[in-house]
Amino acid sequence: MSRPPRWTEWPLRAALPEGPEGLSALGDLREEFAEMSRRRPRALAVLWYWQCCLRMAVWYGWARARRRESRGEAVRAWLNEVRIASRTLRRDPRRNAVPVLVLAFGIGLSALALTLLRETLLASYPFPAADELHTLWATQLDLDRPQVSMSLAEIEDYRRESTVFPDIGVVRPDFDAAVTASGDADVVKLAFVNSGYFRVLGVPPALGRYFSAEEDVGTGAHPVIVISDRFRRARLPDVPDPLGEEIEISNMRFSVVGVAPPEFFGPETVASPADIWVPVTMSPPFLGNNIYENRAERVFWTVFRASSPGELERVRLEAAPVSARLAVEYATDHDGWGVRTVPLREFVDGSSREGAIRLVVAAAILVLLVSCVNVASLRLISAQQRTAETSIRLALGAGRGAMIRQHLAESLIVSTLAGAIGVALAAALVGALEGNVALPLPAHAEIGLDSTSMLIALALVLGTGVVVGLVPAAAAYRAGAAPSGLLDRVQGSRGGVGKATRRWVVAAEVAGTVVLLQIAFATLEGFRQVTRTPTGFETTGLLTLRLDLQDGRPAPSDSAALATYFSNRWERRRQLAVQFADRAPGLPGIDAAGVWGPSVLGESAWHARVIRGDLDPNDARNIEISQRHSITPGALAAAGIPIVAGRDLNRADATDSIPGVVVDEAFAEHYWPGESAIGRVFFTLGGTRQARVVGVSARARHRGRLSPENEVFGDIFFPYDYWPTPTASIIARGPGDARTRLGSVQALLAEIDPTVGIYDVSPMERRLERQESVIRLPAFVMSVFGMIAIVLAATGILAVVNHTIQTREQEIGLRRALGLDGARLFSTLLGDAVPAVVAGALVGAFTGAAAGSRLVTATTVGGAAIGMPWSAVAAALAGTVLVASVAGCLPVFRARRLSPARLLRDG
Amino acid sequence: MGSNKILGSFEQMVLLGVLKGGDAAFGLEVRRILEEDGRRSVSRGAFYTTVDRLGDKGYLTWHNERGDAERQRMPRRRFEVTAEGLEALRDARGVMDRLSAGLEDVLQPA
Repeated sequence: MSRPPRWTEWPLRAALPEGPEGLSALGDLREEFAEMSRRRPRALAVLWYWQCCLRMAVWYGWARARRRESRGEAVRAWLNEVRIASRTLRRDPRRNAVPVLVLAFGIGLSALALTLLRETLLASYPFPAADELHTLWATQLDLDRPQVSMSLAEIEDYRRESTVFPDIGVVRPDFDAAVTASGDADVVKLAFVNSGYFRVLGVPPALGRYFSAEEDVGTGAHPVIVISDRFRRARLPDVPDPLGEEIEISNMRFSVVGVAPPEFFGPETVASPADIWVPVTMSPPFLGNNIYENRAERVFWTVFRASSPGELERVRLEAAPVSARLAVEYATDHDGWGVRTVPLREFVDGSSREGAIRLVVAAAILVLLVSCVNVASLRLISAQQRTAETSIRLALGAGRGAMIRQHLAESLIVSTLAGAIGVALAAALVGALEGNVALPLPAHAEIGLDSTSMLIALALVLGTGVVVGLVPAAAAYRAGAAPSGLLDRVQGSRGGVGKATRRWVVAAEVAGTVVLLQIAFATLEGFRQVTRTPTGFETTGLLTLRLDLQDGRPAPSDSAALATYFSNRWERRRQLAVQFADRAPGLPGIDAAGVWGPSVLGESAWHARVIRGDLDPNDARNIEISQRHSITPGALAAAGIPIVAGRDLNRADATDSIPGVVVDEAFAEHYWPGESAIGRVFFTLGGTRQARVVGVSARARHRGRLSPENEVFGDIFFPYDYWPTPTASIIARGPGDARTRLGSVQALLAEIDPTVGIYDVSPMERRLERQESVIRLPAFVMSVFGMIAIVLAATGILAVVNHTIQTREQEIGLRRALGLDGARLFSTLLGDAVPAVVAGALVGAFTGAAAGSRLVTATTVGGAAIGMPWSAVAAALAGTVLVASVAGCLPVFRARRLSPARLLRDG
Repeated sequence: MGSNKILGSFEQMVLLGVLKGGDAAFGLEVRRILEEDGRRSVSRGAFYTTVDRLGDKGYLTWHNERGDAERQRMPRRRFEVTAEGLEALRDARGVMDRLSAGLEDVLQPA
C-alpha cells in the first residue's frame, strides 16, 4: 500500500469542506494515487498527487467564495471575529503589550533594512538601458592588479581602433578643490569629464546643457562647468537661474552651463560623488602635468555602452591587438598591461559596501524571524490558556474556520499595532542617524521612510500577522478536528496541545539568537581588531590639514609656455614647503611640523612604479608598485614615525644627482631581505630615474587601518623639493589639544603665500575615526540586533516556563506536599525547555558557523575582512545559554517559594 | 424554479453519469464515465464541487461507505439522483427537445 506524503495534502485539507464530503474526495484522490504509484515511479506519482491537491484546493476555494450569498457575509464574519479578538486582547492589556513590543522591533528594523536594500542593491539605475553600461580598466595581471585606471592616451588608442564604441565617457574622479560660490568658500569634489561621459550615460540635464564635442579640444579654452543638484541646493539656494553663474574654483572662474538631475550619478560615485563636472581640457592646471601625453598617468575611469553580449565580446576581441601593439610601441608604460571590461552596476555596487548592507539586512530579517517565533510562542500560550473558551465555542457550533479566523484576527491586530509602533521606531532611528552618522552607503542611495517603506511595513504587518497567527490557528484547527478531546479540555484538563510546538518554538528562538549573536560578536571582533591595529603614527597632539596649491592662473595652450607654467608652479610649491618646514617648528604650540604630499593618511594616495637597482630598468616586467610620498625633512618625526636605520631626509637630498629617499621597513625587506638598504639605488618613474636610500623608517599604515596591508609592497618618501605634489597636508605636533596649533599654522601660511587655500582641518585621531566610521555603524547595528535577539529569547523562554508552571500548579502542589525537593522540581519543570534550548543552541551554533560565517567572511566591511572567530561562536553560545538559564530558572525559583497548600488550592 | 435550480450543462452531465453508474456510482466511477462517454477531461475540483452543489440543490444524495486500505480508510460516497433531480433532468431535456425540434437537418451529423 502506497501512501502519499502528508505535506502534499496540506493545502487541500485546508480547503476541503468538513465532514465526509471532503474526506471522500480526499479518499478518491488517494485511491488514484495508489493506482498511479503502481504504474509510475513514486517521485513522479508524488509530484502528480501534489499538483492534483493544489488544483483541487484552488477549485474548492473558488467554489466556496462563489457559494457565499454575498461578499458582505464574509466581511461580516471577519468583522465579528475582529470584534471578539479586540475584546479578548483588551482583557489583559499588560500581557498582550509584550508581543506587540516584540514584534514592533522586528517590523520596524526589517522595514528599515528592506528600505535600505531597495535603495541600494535593488535600486534600478536611473539610466536608459542601464545594463548596457560598462567600464573599461587597465590590468596588470602579473602583479595581481586586475583593475587599474587608464591614461587618456591609451583610452584614445582603444577608442580609435575599436569599431564598437565610437563614444566613450572619460572621468577623473575625486579631486578636491577650493570652490567659492555666492561668496562662501568650501572644498568640493570635482570630476574631470569629456563630453562623451554625459552622452554615454544618456541622462538629460535638469537645466542647461552638458559639454559639447568642441569642449573636448583646446587645453584651458573652456572655463565651463556642470553642477550637481546637491551643489545647487546647498550652495546656490537663492539663485533662481544658476545658468551663467560664475563660480571660482582654485581662484579660476568658471561659468555654469548645466545642472545635472537630482538622481544623477556616474562611476565616480565609487570614489565619492562629484559636485562639479569640469571639462578634461581644463584639467592640466589641476592635475599638474600633461595628462594628454603621459601614458603613466593612469588616473581616468571610463564608461561605454555595449548593447549586446556579442558587442561586448567584440570590444574585448578588438582590444587585444591594441594592447599587444601598445606593449611593443610603448614598452615602458604598456608591456605586461591589458584591458578588461566590468559592468557599471557591478563596479558601483561592488564598491559600495555591498557586504555591509547584506549583513545588516540579513540580521534585521533574522531579528524579525526571532520576533515572529517569539510572538507565535506567546500567542500559542495565550491560546492554550483559553482552551476552555475555545471548546465552548466549538461546542456551540463554531466551525474550524471561525476558530482560525479568530486567531488570525487577534494576530493581525497585534501585528498592526506592532507595525505602527515599529514604523515610529524606524522613523526615530532614521532621524537620529541623519546628520549624526556617516552611513556607508552608495551616493545614489537616500534612506528615508517614504510611501514604499510604508507599503513594505504593511506587507510585513500582514505577513507577520498571518505567520504568528498560524501556530495558534493550527492548534485550534486540531482542536476542532478532534472533538473527542473536547470534554477533557472543557473540564480543565491540560492536554498536550502545542507542547511539541512550544519546544520547536523555544529551539527556533534560541537558534536564531545564537546565529545573530555570532554575527554580532564577529562584527565587533572585526571592529576591535581594526581599531586596535597600530597605525605606526603617534596621533596625540597631531594637527593635520590639507592645502590647495593651485595658483589660479589658467594653463596656456601652447606646449612651450606650458613647460614654463608648470615649472613656475613647482617652484611656488617648493618655496612654500621649504619655508613652512623651516619656520613652523618653534612657533607657539608647535614642537615639530612638516609638509606631506599628496596627503597624510592616504586620502589621495599616489603610486610609484619602481624597479630594483640590479634589474633591467628597460624591462617593464620588473616594475613593481609602491606608494610614494613627498615630505619635508622632519615630517616623519612630526608624525611620530621613527627612522630605524640611516637618517631622515635633508635639504641636500633633493638636489643630489641621484636624490636621497627614505623607504619603509617593508620596502627595504622586500628589495634587500636581510641586508642593509642604506646606500642602495633603485629605479623610479618606471625606470627613467634613480633614487638612493638614505634612511629606513618604521612601518606605518599610511592608507589607514582599513586598507589591506599588502595593497602595495612598501612606501617611499621623496624630498618634497624634489617632487612637489599639487596637493599636500600640513602636520604639526605640540603639547595639548591639536586644534590649538591651527592659529599659528594659518598665520605662517598666510605670511608665506596668502593665496594658498586651507581645508579639512582635523586632529589625526579624528581623521582615523572618520575613516573607521564605515565599520563602526555595522558593528553598532549588529550589537543592537544581538541585544534585541537575546532579550527576545529571554522573554520567550520566560513565558514558556511560566506557562508550564501555571498549567501544572496542582501537580506541583501535590508533589511538593509529597516531599518533592527543589532539585527535582527544577528537573520536572525545566525538563521540557532544556532539551529545546540545547538543541536550538547547537543548531544555531552550526548554522552560524557555516552560513553566518560565509556571510560575515564574504563581507568586507570598509575593506577589512571579518571572519567568524571561534571565540564569537563560544561567546554567542555562552551568552544565549546563560540568559536562557536565568530566564528559565526565575519562574521556577518563584514556584519554589509558593506553599504547596496554596498551589493545591489555587491550581 | 429559482435561478439556482437551473441545471448547467456540466451538472446535467454529472446527473447522467450518476444514473449510468447505477449501484456503483462512486466518485471515481462517475468521473470515469464522464470522461469516457462525455469524451472530455473532467477536472477533479470541478467534479467534486459540482456534486456538492447538486447535493445543496437537492438533486443528488449519497450514502457514505467505509473506505478500504488503499484509501487509508477515508469514506467513499455512493451517489444517487433524487426524484427532484430526475425531474430537473427531464425538464432540461424537454427544453432541449423543444428547441431542437425542426432543426434535425441542421443538427444531424454530417
